[in-house]
Amino acid sequence: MTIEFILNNKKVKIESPAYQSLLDILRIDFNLMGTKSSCRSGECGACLVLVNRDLVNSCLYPAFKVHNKEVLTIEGLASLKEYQIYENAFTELEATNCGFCTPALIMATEGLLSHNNNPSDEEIKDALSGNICLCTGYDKILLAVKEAAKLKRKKKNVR
Amino acid sequence: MSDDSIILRPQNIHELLVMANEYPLAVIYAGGTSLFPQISSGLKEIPSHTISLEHVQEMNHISRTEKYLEIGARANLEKIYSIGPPVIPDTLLKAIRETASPSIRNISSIGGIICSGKGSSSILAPLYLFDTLLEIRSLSRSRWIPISRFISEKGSIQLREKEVLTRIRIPFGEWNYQNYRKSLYNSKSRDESLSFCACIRLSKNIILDLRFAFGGVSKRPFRNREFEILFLGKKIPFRTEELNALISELQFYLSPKDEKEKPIAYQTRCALEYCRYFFEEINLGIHHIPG
Repeated sequence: MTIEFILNNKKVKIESPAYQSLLDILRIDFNLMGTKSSCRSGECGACLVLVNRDLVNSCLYPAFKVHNKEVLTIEGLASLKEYQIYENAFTELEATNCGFCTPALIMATEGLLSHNNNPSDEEIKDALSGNICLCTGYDKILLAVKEAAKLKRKKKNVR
Repeated sequence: MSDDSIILRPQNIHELLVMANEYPLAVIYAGGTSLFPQISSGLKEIPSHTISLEHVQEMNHISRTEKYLEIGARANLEKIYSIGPPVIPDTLLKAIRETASPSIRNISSIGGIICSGKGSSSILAPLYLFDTLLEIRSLSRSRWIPISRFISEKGSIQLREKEVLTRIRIPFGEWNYQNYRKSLYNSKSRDESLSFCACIRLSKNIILDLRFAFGGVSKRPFRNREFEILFLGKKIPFRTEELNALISELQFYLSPKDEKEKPIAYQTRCALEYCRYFFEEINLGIHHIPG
């Protein structure tokens, strides 16, 4: 079937089986490797992307549902100015570990901070509850999200 | 069968029911969190027809009256969760939060969870607790049935051909205290968990109503009105021996007649301990619980 959608702010059109996952579309059809393929069952959160600004597991998202939607991946986010905030917060606080899960963690952070720029620890833990980091060390990740929120507020001059 | 599915996109419930009538074997697709991994991994065949509920706005509404909360069957868990208390019962909110991360909550629909046939799902136990009703519609008729009758003892759902689950109705109750707990007993699967929920209504420390529901002890949530009735009219706090007797009674009710259906010891033990914690919290917090 023909799928038309907006991918990282560009209109795209592909032919795809209805039940192909958005994850495979991104990685195979568009060579966007920042969205990671791991468990493929919604357990690990390595494949998180934003669809119409909502955070979703791309491994659980069929092609037929992508039609007419707006998809933002880590590559799309990285092309925006505000990505620098995430990059600074995650690198300065050494929250990247091996790096495999970092793109998805940043997408989850963007999903949270776009709705709530001053989240509590509990809200951050809930927002990241679908992201598994096999290196462990969630404390630094939590601090990086708090730092990113702080930088975002500062940029917008919000206390 | 073709190697691709024909996607039908009804715009309203009437169109949906017409399509369900015309294509009785079509898959009704809401969130797909259970179905999609099975199809993409090859465990299930690609359906020849898929009816996507995405554009059926009536099934995405959440409304409340004085007596009950009504949730459209395709409403996703995040939409329900973001409404929060007091409209959404505490136990249901906690069950949603404990069961699904935000990215899953954005996909998974409440109707899909009910229809997935996974009776152990933690979200079903609160729905049992509040005597939830389900609206089932087909082109020719509409019926409301209690969720306890919708899921059979063997865990299969009582949805006939051409029928669709359209609304979920949760009656409101005035509860002084609600509690939800969950534990995983198989870390490889989020579905295999033990969940406990309870709610209590008191007047001057006398129990007017008390309900318990357990998810994961059998193929559908466990709730037993006979056991609950044992508590009515009793005064709290419970003495230790009184509490022990009630927990022993619960152990009896949790033991199914069919040996094959017997839950594993760990689940039963968790269920009994959670029940005990619930009463201990009530005993401890009695002065803080209004009523």
